[in-house]
Amino acid sequence: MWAAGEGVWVLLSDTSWAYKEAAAALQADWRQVGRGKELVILNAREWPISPPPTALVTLGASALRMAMERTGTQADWARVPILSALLPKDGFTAIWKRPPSWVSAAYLDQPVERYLNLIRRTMPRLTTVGVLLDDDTASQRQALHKAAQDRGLRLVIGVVDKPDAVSSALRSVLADADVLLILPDGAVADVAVLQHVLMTAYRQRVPVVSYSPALVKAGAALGLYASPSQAGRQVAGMLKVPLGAASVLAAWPASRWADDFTIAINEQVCRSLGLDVPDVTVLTDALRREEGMR
Amino acid sequence: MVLLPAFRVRQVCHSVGLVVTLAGVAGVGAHAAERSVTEEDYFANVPVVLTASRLDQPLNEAPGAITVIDRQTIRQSGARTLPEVLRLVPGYLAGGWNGANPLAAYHIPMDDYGTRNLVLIDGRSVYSTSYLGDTHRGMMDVMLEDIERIEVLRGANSAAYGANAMFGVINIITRHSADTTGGEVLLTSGDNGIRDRRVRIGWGDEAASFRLSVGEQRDAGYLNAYDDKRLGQVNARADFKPTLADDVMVAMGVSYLDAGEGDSDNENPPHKIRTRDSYVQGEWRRQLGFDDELKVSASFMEDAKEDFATAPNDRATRATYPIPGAYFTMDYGGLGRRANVEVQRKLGLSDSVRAVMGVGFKDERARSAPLYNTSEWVSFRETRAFGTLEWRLHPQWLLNGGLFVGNHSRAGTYTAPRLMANWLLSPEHTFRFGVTESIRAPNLYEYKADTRIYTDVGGLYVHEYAATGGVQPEKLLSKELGYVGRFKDLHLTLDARLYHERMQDVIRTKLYPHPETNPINGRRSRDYVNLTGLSLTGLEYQLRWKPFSATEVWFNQSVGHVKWDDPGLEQHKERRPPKHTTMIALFQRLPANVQLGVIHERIGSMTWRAREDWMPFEHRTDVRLAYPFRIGANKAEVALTVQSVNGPATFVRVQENFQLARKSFLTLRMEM
Repeated sequence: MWAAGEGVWVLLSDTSWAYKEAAAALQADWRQVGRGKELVILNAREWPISPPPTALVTLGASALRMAMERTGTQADWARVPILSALLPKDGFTAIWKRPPSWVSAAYLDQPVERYLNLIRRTMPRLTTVGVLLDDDTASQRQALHKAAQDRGLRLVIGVVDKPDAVSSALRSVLADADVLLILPDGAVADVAVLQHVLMTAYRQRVPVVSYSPALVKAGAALGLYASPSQAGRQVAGMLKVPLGAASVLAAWPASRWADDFTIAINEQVCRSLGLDVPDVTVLTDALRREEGMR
Repeated sequence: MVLLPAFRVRQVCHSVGLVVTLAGVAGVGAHAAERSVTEEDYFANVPVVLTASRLDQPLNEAPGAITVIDRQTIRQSGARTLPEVLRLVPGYLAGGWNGANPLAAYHIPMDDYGTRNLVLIDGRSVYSTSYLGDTHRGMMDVMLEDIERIEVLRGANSAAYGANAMFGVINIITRHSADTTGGEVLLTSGDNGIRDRRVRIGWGDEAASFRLSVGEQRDAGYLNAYDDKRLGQVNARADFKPTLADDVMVAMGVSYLDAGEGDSDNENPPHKIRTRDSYVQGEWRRQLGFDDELKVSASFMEDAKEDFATAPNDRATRATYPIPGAYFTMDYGGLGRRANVEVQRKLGLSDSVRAVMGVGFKDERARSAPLYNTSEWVSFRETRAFGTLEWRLHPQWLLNGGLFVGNHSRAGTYTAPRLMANWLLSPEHTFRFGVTESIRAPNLYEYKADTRIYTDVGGLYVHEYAATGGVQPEKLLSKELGYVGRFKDLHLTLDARLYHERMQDVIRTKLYPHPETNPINGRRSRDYVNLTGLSLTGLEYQLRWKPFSATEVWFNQSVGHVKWDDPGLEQHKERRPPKHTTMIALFQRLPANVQLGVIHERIGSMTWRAREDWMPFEHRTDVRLAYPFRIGANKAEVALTVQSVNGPATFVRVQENFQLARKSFLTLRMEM
């Protein structure tokens, strides 16, 4: 079927659309980046016991977990370079606390600067941004404050130090904030909590900017996220250099935030909140220009 | 509310292919602690919280002109009463026959009680039919601080709400109790006897939350008027979320008004009026699907009034038909009760057609021996069915048709249709045109009035009102051309309404010789009859401009012309609105977060009653300066408001020299 050590394997957590879409995008770009190496797409359930490939791409949390287990249990897998995708940073570090330099990720998370740019572009009059975060994210808080400051925005952070503190943290944030930014954080990543946050913010006429298309459909005003195919293309881009290098291991890329993004707008929510949001393509181009992207 | 039932959540998740952890869905805060975020959080579906049907309809797609005033604007306006807030709505006039009875009228001051408009508080109509048809008292049931927003539909809307929704529908939405947890204390003190205080406590979470507000307002009313007011209010609201698909709201409250009343007229001597309004209401909403909602609501209300006075009998010694007795007694007190129940379904029939349909029943009754000359209840019942169909004919064309059919036990069966077309020329510019018919059903007093005033020795001083019951509903045909525009680059919105309204069968009193009592006192009695008609033509608009992030300017103008069919009314200039009004409001955030609010109003000459009460052109300016600060972790604000900065001016009752005083008051608010 395949020659061990010559191919790059892509391990899907399961056969859901998101993993398949990411894998398909990677496959589509493979001709330009693969250097003739074979790309093998595998479902986690059918992962054969065999000698390791040149490199492994994992899509999703359970694929990464399986890869970690294998590197820990099989000596020949110990130094296989792994690029993890379709996973946020939180999820990555929860699985692999201290990864070696040859294990890195293309995170699903958007850089916070991009969220703030989006807010500034779509709601120039709203200058106080509220965020709910876990209490163990001091470094993220600092980064957020700095990014906000650089853009003339004021940040109000509600710290959710225990699970039942969401309501009170939300209340204090909404009392000050003009716009609420929901980041993929353990503090809010729960269906009921998200519904509560969306409903409460809407009642108080505070627009919500979120990290997923589902949240936009559910009632957030705006969403900024990387689609699975954008994530797939990012993996292809990140593999190009190491696959062409003399030592794949030495040239293995460091972890990165999502390169590309998609913007989703809930027109009805925006209108009812009195927000004049520009067209998605106009907005996307403007954000890309701002970041110096094509 | 809108949330999909749990089994649907599962279905949705499976269709996406990612299995979401559903633990903790039942209760907020019960989510698994320390759960790390995975890709599922990005790509799994979240049950829809805000469906299209639950959203406020975008203003440019609404079948009428709507002005929304939010909580922040209410506060920044410095208003102490709802009619003062409504001055911000184009076409509205604020008045009141004395300072204890503030009233707002749209386009024309047709009556003293707000008889020809509708006021809804959380969907409950406060319209009282026990006397002459009253919404001004019902507006006092709610405290301004408990209001989330006010949506005013400018114009008639009987097609949606039935009788009485003729000159405007004022839709007051109070704050959800989950948004008002914690405490709030508010103290206001100023000249003119102003002493307001209020306490609110709220507790609970998204599954069950509660609010209790208790307040009192006192002031000395107008200058030169016996109208000192003391209004006590207690309101409670509870919201429950038994399942993800259900929302239950229960509210109840009582308000007491103790007000001075009377003037130089012997038949209305200075005395006290005491009223008590109480209500209990419930509403259950179930989300049956993405665009499918069922709502069941019920309410019960009671209004009680003590309005008793005595005056010297000036007819004891006259030459013809002298009436024995030293004094006569007047009593306009009574008790009213209203029960209402309604079932409504909102449904998306296809991508381009949405419908609202419902049925309802109400029973309204009054008991007052002095007003109706009987100790029995006087009542009517109404069964109703209504429906609205919104059809997006084309991306640029939205048609909205509505029909209300009411079966009124006294007025008979009536219909109120509406047809409106919205032309969405572009996302920024919408033109709206349409026609609607609305009615006002006569009130119990207009059907059954029998008011006899006696002297202390039992002599019939006057048989003032003796209705024959032949009165028919008033009708209004409105035609309008509207425009809603957003000018993004200028940060400007414009909302304009050009209207022509033709009212027929206007109910007024007519003197006639009552066969039973006329020979005794030589005075005739009043009947309520459909006497005349009138035409109203005008243009009103509002500009909202946000030139800078800290600045917002509202500019309203309204020009109009009224013509009564009855030349006598034209001649006597009865109930004449101003030909023009202008309102400009500035809301400015100053350094140190200080908030400045200025409202300047210019009102052309007009009369709320007749020629004798003609008011000259007037202008009024209100200024409010507020400083928010913190006391520890608590938010606080101190505000100074000066109303009528330019000094007192004659108001409403010109003959009595009633004047709107300059009022200054300081408000301290603290949230805990």
